[in-house]
Amino acid sequence: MLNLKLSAKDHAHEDALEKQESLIERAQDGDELAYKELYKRYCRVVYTLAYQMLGNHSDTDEVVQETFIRVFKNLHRLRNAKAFTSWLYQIAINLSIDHRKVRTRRRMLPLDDNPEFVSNYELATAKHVRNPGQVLENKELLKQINFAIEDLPEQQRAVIVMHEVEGMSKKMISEVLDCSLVTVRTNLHHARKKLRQNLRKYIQE
Amino acid sequence: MDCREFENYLQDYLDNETSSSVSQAIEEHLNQCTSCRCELDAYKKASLLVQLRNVPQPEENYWETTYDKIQDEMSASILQMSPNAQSPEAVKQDDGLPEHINWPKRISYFISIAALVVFMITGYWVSNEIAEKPDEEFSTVIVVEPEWRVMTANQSLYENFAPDADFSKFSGAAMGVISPVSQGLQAEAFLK
Ligand SMILES: [Zn+2]
Repeated sequence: MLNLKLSAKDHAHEDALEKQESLIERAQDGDELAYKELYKRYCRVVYTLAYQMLGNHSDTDEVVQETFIRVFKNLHRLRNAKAFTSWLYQIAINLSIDHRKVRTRRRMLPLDDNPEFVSNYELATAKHVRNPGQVLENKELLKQINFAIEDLPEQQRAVIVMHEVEGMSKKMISEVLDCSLVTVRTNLHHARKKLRQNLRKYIQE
Repeated sequence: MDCREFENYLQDYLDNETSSSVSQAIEEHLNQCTSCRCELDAYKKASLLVQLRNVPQPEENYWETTYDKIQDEMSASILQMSPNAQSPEAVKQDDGLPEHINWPKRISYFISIAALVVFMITGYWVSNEIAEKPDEEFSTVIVVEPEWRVMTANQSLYENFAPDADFSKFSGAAMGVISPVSQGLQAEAFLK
């Protein structure tokens, strides 16, 4: 069971063009290599989504594990392989929302603002920022952005993360959150207004 | 176009969802109106700030160790999902419920869940779509929480409902997962 390691060798052999759907069908038939391949394809995006929702590694780690456990356990019930991605995101987002509720209730685990996070962050910004010219220098600003996002109600937060950060379409978001396009738009608009308000200090010229 | 109209269109304009004639009117207005231009800029900047919030990636070996943990958990739960796991004792050991739990309430939840399980089994047999072997075991691991969510795997049906809710609405549950809205309580009903 545990001999499936993710190695560089696998990458070399992997057929990058393998159709998503046949991969899912193989996994549905219990092919463990197909499970591993699905995990490899999606672990990073699930991690990113959950991290955007939760703001720290420890909660994100739990949600990533739980997401894939649920996906693998229930994959054989997925009728439409094309719906896999939105189904996966749906599980990840909903587990994140649930996890946040528990965290709020227990008042524990604040956002990452430890030195390690900041230095990782600085490394990361150089590589991943969409506009490399606009690298954030100010740690206080980073903290305020985190607080502003943390301050949003779950649905708004989920919508803004998927739309503004992950660049997902409103249609896809409505599938993931299982709500109407109108609801997605409304949540997006409210979230934008709130963020604009909470970040006004950093927006004014 | 005046400032009030611009405000109405602002969000759609940010999403490139205004018609070309409206976009043109907006741009003409923006050329003359500093305050609306600032307003639009403010939204764009806020959105940029959110995009700049980056996710620090874990170390490379994280992905592999996490995959191993997922597999461990999967093999453990296959054992847990055996029919023996249905006894209340088996459920109790990992439910993590707080000490002050209200027992009469809890028992009433169990009754509700039993009704749900019966309903699900019925739904399972009745449904013609399911091409699974009829001799397969049905097993559950359930702990009860006041709010429940039903998620079906084939189509996204999502509802929150109380344990004493009318479960007849949720025939889709026969094919899905039931989990409590809050995490921390292991609560899933499976058809296997
Ligand atoms: Zn104006």
